[in-house]
Amino acid sequence: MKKILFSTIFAVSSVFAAETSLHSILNNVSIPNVDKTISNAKVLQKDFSAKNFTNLVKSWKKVEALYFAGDINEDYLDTPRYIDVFHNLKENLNKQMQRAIDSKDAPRVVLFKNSFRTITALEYVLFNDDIITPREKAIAVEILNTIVSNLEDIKEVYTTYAASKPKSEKWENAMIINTLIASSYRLKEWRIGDPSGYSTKYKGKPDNRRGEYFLSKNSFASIKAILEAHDEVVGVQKFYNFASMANESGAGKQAKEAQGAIENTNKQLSLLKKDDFSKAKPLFTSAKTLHNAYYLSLVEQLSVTAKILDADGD
Amino acid sequence: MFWVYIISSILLAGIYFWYNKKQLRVSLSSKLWFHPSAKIDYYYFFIGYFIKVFMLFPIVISAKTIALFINKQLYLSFDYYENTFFSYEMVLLMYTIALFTVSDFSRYWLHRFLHTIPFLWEFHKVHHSAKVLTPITFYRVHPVENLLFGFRYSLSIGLVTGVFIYFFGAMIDIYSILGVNILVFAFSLFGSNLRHSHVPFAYPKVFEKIFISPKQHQIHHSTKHFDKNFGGYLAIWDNVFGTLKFSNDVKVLKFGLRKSQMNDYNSILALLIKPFKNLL
Repeated sequence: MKKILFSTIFAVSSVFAAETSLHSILNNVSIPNVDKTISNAKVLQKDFSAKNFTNLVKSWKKVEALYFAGDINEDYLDTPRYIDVFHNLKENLNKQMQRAIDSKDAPRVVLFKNSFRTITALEYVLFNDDIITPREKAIAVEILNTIVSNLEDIKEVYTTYAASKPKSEKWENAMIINTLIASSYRLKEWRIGDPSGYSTKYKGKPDNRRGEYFLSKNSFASIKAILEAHDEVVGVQKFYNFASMANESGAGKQAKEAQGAIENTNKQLSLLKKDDFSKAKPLFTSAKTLHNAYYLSLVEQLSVTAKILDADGD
Repeated sequence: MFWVYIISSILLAGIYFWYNKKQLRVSLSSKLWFHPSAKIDYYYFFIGYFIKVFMLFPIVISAKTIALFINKQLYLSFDYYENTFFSYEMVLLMYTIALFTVSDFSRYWLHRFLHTIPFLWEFHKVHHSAKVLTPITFYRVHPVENLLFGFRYSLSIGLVTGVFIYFFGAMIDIYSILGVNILVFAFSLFGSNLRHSHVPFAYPKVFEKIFISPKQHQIHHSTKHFDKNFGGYLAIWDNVFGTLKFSNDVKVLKFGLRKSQMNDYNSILALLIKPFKNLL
């Protein structure tokens, strides 16, 4: 009888135990997003349509935008760069991929570099011209095998952590805000600022070819997916997320500021002609507002460092 | 934490007296623990606590405010910086060391200024007016000095934290024991409470070039060496800036101020008022 009583108490307390925002995000956002990306990659392997590639891009961008696996387990710090090399490669990947396509060696042999097995390389293979040759299909299948394998690694990290006891809520929340900050910076600077000519690097020199997925015309789809990912974490959702935690911590106003910036960035994006960055100043400004909302407002209000400061002693 | 450090100090003192039995009599003497100067320290400890909590803490700007200000200024001046080089553990280690080192460095200079700037010396004299040293003498500090140390803490910790948040994001932490910086804990455990005592616990000379031993701080309290050993935990600053004195170099320690000045600091009220009177 005692055993039953204790088991019941334990079961009930487990159900009602407060879930941290990271655990909830992993279960409700990250793991489903990885699953969807794996599924989309497998669909693409069977049917190399533009729509299927767009679906893969959209789901992958959501995984990449909220990449926590590298912080959870440092062995997986570089995994996103094994899947996507946008802005992380100095060499001309397109030229190298053309060489790989022209080569007579087996796909497994020609794809000898990590960067050749990324979604960036895959885009070139599928969209360098209007036709996808059997050779290109064979290479694409091989690239997608690697992408799926890396995605499964990410899923493994997430599922393992989601099943374990949280490391520390303070650490988890700091990791989430850092990820949002880094992702919003890349969105503003790399994905919008570089092609529109508003980034520090390309100030006054707009060029649509700098868009993330210029060849497949998926640059805007990528931006939209990233904003969706941010909304899943910072927006009002049915599950407990970072916004819920921020509300409980007295940072509701700051979370709303971020939500407003996400909404406005989406609106500005919808006003532009597909993948044309020539009139993207309001889009860039709005993305900057989002980055500032995270970096200046949320960090300040959530005071993720308060305990550290107390711990020095004098 | 206070009691952890006190117990560790008693243990260290026990070890010291095991080898130096002659010194034991002085340290256990009721003349020392119930000396008028020691009694003032005990009363002042309670009064000082309330002054700090109710009058000083609300005035001192928090380290968090400074940290967020520094971070914001760096961000607005140099845009966002993303760390992709240092691991989390590496950042933790660097932040722990930086906090400790910068804090100790600023402590050295403020302490030195308290001695070398006449206006500040009037307030710091209160601390040096202790004729005998007990661990409670540590708290015999004028509220103005408390205020200065409060600002020093906020500025130094806030500066380091602001820079670290800018370079490494919000995910910074320190290696700590019982909520205290592990380095502060280690040094506090190793005899920081013996600094204000009559236990002349010294380190070998080679260590005294790096760490301030209890005896070195006692030397600082002796009337002839007020201008030496300003360091808190580290002796490096004294070594670099020419104010280091080794334990072996000083045989006789005489604490307090000049005889003529001692009578000015013989009550709680005198400790609080005298600096202002001297300045007027």
